[in-house]
Amino acid sequence: MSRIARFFLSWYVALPALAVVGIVLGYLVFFNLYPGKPQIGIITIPFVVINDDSAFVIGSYLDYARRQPRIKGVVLKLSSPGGGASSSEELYLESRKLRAEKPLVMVMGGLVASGGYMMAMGANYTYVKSSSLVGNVGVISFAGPVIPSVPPENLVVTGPSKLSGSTRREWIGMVDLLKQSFAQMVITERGDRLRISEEQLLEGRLYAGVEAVQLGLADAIGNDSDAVEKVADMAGISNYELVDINTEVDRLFIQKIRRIFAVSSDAEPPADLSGVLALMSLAQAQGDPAGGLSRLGYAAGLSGSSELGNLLRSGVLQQTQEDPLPGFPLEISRPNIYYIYAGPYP
Amino acid sequence: MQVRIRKLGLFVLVPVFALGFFIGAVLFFYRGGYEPPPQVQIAFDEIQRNSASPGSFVDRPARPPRDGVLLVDAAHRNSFRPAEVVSFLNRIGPRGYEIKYLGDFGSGDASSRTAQLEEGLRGADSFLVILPRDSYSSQEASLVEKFADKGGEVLLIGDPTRRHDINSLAGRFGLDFQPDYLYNIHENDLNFKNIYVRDFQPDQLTQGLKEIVLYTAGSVKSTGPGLAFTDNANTRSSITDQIEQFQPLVWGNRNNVLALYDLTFMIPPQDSILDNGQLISNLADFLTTGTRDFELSDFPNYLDGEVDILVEQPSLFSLAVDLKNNLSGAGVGATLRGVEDIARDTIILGLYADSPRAARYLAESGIQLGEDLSTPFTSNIELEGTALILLGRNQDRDALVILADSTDSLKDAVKQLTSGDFRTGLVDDFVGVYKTE
Repeated sequence: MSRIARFFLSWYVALPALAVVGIVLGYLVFFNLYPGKPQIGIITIPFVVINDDSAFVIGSYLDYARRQPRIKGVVLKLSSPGGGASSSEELYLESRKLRAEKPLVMVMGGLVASGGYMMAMGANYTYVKSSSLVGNVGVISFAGPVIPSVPPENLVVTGPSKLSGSTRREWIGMVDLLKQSFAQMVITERGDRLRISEEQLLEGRLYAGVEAVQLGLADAIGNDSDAVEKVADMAGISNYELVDINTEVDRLFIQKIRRIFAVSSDAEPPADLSGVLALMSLAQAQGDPAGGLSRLGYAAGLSGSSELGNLLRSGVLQQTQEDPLPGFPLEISRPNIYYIYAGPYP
Repeated sequence: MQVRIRKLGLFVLVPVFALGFFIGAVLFFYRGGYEPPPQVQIAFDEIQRNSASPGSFVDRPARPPRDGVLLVDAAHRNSFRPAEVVSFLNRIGPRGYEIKYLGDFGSGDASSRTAQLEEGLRGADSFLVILPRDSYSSQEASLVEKFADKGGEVLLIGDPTRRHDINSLAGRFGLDFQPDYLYNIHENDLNFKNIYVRDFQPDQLTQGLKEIVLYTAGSVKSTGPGLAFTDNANTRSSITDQIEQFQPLVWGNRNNVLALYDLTFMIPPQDSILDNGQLISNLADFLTTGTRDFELSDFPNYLDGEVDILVEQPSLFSLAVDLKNNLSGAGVGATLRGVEDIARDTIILGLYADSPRAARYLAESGIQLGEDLSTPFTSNIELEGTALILLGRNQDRDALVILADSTDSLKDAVKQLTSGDFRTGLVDDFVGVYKTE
């Protein structure tokens, strides 16, 4: 054995060298394979009415947070008057799904009402400002005409409710069921924390944050940093880093778009949106691990950081649905049931 | 060789260091794990519709059918459609009453509307006002008040969900429809505004009622007695925190004026929920069982469908024929007779000088006919160039006496009667004295 080899195999050289190698190895495994430096995802929902599109966007954020292994907990900053009934419920269910895997702490902004509040029921813990307005549990819907119209002579329908879906009275009964469901969600989710009766809850009042905490509609007065600390505590992590999920999802979307343009054309984005739509459909057909490219497209629309996102947000793409049934003579309208606070009636 | 192997064994330290770092890093970044809360299950299967059930109701009029006219206000841009009250109005016909609409649901100028109302009320036995959007003018309200004074039934229906200015009329009867709606969060029919009412004051109008549901009712303040009261435990008014029994169905300041602050309960299918059908029938009975008093000015509405015309002198025969034709145009059939039938409404045409069959009516009204004409309110009127019209009312029979000093004067009096000009010469509600041409 040469003197050089002996030197490197001597204790006082080999041990530190092996330690460095071991530490580097451990570093690589820890930070790149598993479990990585813990992250807390921050989702910011500016004042937004929850409809199909915005629910899709918010859902994509929650979905992303749930799927990313390094994100150990999520803080969701929400300000919303609520919106469509099914969209609001979708977000509640998506929040519940996330909560089952990672802690979700919600920070309520100036107004979290009705469907927005329903979404908050999916969180582990809710912070409000004392000046936040919270609650407004209930349903708004437009019932049919008092006197039902007669189907025209040339229209064949197979039942008295085929056109309208229900009589006015049945519709009101259905809305009442939704009201009860909403109340049950709040009562069940809040459990012992709730300190008002179902009847009081169903008055549909908005409560100031300070009162909401007293009544158990929210857990504590706090802000974003309180929420971060709370979620870290619940996740059992320290020395974490914060991740802006809005930006991450947007970045992911842009990457995908660039890749698709690079593959599908000569790296020139098509001028008209129908081409974009076709590409997005193509991407969706090819499978998209982050929940569908179109979802990301909508997400970009909400964050507003890309031109395409702005176009998507403007709803131009939806024009492709203008005439879904050529020749169908009746106007098709969406069901109109809302969990929303619309403001004082003029 | 053994030394070499031993020294190569040093490489085992690599994973040890790696593990050490890994554990250290884990301990540095992770203090524990997340324990998700138990996933709660929402008890959706326990949620049920809390709806009132339809009642089994058959409409039975309280009394045998009797002729009459129900006037329905449609001259004040009223906020309802006839189809909405079809369940109610369908019960008017079987009670013998005819339904007449005043106006066409549009908005006319005030003066023509007043004249229209005056004319309409002359022929009406009862008056239904639902949600007038245009205010009642002072003159119009006075006409309705006078109608009620004469015993005509008045039903005022409001609804908090629709625009109306019913208080412009209701105030005349000590009624004030409040700007509120009533609700009950604890117990309701599908919606907090659909309230149960179970407390009724015994009355013809509340007969057979145990439980009704009103669909967005309001409360009415009245100087008269209430008929239906909300429960004071859980039913609230939208404009006050005061706990009290609110009245959605209430009498006005007389027992022929009624206020109801909900229209929706009589719109199908709400009309058949619980005892709502009974209440609708009771309201129909109320509007068709009154006995309003007619006056001379209400000509020819107080005359039954068939009247007799008696002429005191054969020379008046052609005039009687003219009058008969005129009455026929107004929907009143007339028969010329020589003998009085005291069971039938009668018109007597004659001259001052020789009218024996009119004498009894003159005497009953305190009218003296001699050298001159005197009534309880006027005296010593010269007979020349005058005419007298008198309405004698006796239970269900009306006798209209038309006398004059000459055939020409009588002709002119009949002309004034049929044209409506006679109303300017009324001495009191039943007597008119006229200068003739």
